[in-house]
Amino acid sequence: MAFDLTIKIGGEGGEGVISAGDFLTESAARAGYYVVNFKSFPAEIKGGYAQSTIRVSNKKLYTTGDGFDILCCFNGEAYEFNRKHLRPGTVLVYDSSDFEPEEHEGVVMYPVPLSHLAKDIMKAYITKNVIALGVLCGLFDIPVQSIKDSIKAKFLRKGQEIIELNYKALETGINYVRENIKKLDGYLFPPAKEPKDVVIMEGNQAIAKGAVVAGCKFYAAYPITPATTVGNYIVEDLIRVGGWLYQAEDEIASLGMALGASFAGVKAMTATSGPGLCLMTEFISYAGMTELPIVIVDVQRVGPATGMPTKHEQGDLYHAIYSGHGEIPRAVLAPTNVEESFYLTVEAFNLAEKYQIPVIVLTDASLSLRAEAFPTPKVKDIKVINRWVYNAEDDPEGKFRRAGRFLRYALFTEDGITPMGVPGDPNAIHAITGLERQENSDPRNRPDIRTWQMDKRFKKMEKLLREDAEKFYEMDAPFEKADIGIISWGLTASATKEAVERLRSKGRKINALYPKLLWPLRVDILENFAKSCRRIIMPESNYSGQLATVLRAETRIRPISYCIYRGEPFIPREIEEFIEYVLENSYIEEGKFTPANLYGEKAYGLI
Amino acid sequence: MLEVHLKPADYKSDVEPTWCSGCGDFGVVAALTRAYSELGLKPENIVSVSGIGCSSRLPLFVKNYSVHSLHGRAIPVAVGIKLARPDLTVIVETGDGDLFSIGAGHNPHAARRNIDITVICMDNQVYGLTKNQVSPTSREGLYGSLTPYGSIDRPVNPIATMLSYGATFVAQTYAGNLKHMTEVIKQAIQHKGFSFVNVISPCPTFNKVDTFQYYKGKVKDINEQGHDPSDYRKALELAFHDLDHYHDPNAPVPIGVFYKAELETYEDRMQSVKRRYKQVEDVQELIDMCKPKAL
Repeated sequence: MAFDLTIKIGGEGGEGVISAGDFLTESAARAGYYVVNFKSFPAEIKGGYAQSTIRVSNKKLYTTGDGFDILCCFNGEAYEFNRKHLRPGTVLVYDSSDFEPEEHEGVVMYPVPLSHLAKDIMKAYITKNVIALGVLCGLFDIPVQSIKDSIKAKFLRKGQEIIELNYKALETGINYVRENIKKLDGYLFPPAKEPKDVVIMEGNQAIAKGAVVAGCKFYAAYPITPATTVGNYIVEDLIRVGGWLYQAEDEIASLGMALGASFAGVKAMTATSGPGLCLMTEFISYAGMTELPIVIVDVQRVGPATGMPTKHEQGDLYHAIYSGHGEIPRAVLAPTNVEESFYLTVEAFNLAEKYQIPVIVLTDASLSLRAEAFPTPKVKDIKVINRWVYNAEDDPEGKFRRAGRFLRYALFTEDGITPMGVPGDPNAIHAITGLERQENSDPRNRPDIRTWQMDKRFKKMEKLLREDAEKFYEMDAPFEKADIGIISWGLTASATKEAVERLRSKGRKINALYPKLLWPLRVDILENFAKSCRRIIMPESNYSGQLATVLRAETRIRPISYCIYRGEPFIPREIEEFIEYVLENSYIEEGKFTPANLYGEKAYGLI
Repeated sequence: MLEVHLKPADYKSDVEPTWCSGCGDFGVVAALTRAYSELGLKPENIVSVSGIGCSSRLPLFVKNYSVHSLHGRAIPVAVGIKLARPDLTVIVETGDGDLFSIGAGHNPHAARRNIDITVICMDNQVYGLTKNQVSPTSREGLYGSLTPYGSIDRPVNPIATMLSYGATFVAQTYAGNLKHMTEVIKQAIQHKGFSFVNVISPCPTFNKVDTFQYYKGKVKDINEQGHDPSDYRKALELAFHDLDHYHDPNAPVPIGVFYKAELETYEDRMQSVKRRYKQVEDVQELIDMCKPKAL
């Protein structure tokens, strides 16, 4: 039986809303369900509204869905924020010792005096969130044992007394339901299955783990929301594999340091968000020119300028693809979910090392905070590529040396890739410079040398397209000729997948393409896909439809853009409704649309 | 103990310097290669890092691993190299514009953290490569293409600045005195921790005021006059007089080692932090940490 339930918990920051969500997420994974969790908290240090949305299912999940089935409000503010989404069929569990909600047509309401139970029965206000979990267990048959296991694991270090206190809080919630509440809704967790071998990671955590698996040994950090947590997650892991994280004085320095480490022979990375990426631009150019492998993670947030630091947008694509002075060989990768954040980070290092180029990983604020359970990666099975380090023994004829000088930028290799000399090796002493230069690194302005060196650098990109690009195009095109073809990237692709599934189950003929490599582009793959569709729709969370614009420039595809830029990601229903809209309006062949085109002024109150 | 026996000439690359004749920076190459030779360093274990400017071409002219980086960014690149490979000798060769203007945000942090790199600033009090603009160390009244009325800015005091940032080795030397330069650069390279050497290196093309002629007879070795480099307060006091000659034609220009202290380096501290952590046998352990916690 299909089981798919979304629980949203809201309350005051600091009341344990987020950790209650984390308990639920871990318990669900432990009990063998698929689970996705999205949390958001205020930009303030303390207080403000915090929420956690947990979707649990027995089938693979792409998003936290369109809304929620069950809303659990720890206070009146959480209710005020969410009341407009209480539609018939949803359930409201609320702290009746804090506030009394209005009547809502078709909404089942369960008043529970959470604060009273915590303060007067448990005599410990901090247990309010676990009491609430108990209430949810009692109401919806959430496997109690798996919650208990999560509590035990979390508080193991704090001692048996704390564990017992929390068990008691859980029981208090369960008992309250048993003694006082008559169940009026139909939501129930099915019995727990055999637990799967999974890990639970947040987006930024997956990037950190991926980097360590790829062999990263140096990370230069400068704090910026929402990228900072990549550093928080990697710092101790990095030390445990013999590496180091250095907190730089600014973003310029952090990329400079990472490039220094890379020159010294060590795999290095940095992570930042839009404003930081702007500062790094000159060094991105330098990395391309000097052919230093480097991974730069850009956790996109709403711009321009300081924009909305904690909110989602896909607004940095142009910057990732085009930024920098001159023309720079580079690759841009964009994961669509947490699991891919892990694997694509490994791939980013592989591409950087193989082609000696800067590789930018584009994620976003929402993906950075989203947690997912996914099959445990097996490190042994993950392919890790290391750079070509010069070894004089492999070069008995001295091809890569001329007049005693190492030819770091030799022009005779077919693919433009030349071995790197690592300090300490007497046979590979060389200079690197951002100036155009001869094969032996001497700066030169000659037209022929300039042309050959440009060709050398861009030959690497041709090889990348030939050998590595195809696997980054996730194709889901079952129809020989579909009515609609969807191309979407990043977190939007996750919402799109769900929309596509729903539409197909209604009989709509839709093909989909999810590119994870956004630069360079395999034009042939994109155009062939477009040929299999009557019209192409591209949902993106940015104002101008950035990937659509890039495709208009680079391919013959003429897409219909659907753009939102409110600081929140798409929900599947929005994409579903837009596709239906395009299907109904056959005259629409290309152009740019926003929710206002569909809903008029109502669009502003949609979410 | 010497690692190798190479002559100064063996540390010169076959790239010919593009500097104007009479440039003080030629002297710096000579002093640097002598210092390498006398210290017996292997060329493959040295990394020279620079930014942009006349002086910053230097790494291309010496035989060692060289990074000619970006405007003002030599120090971050050098720090990355040193932290990734503490076994290497890392030397930054830079200019007054690079170090105290565009890159001024970087040197305080490498200095205060006592990262074991050597920073040699070739100070000619002018931007040469962009053809004559005033720099942060230019004296008041100096003419430049952007200040045809004569500079109205007060100059930075390189020695006092670096002392206040916490550099553990601060010295000044003069391109007209090869012996002194070599000796100071040698000491700076040998110093464990952040070392800073300001080389007064006159520009014969654009700076017609602060010339070899001007400095001749003005430079005075503070160590010969009895300054003890372990005295931080005394060093600061002396440093305050570093720019007096801009206003007083009789004031000397102090050269020598102002300050020197053996303190724990950043790399030492990094190693002691690393020792507190158990190394993983297999990276899989770090992935398995993310499983729902085992009981």
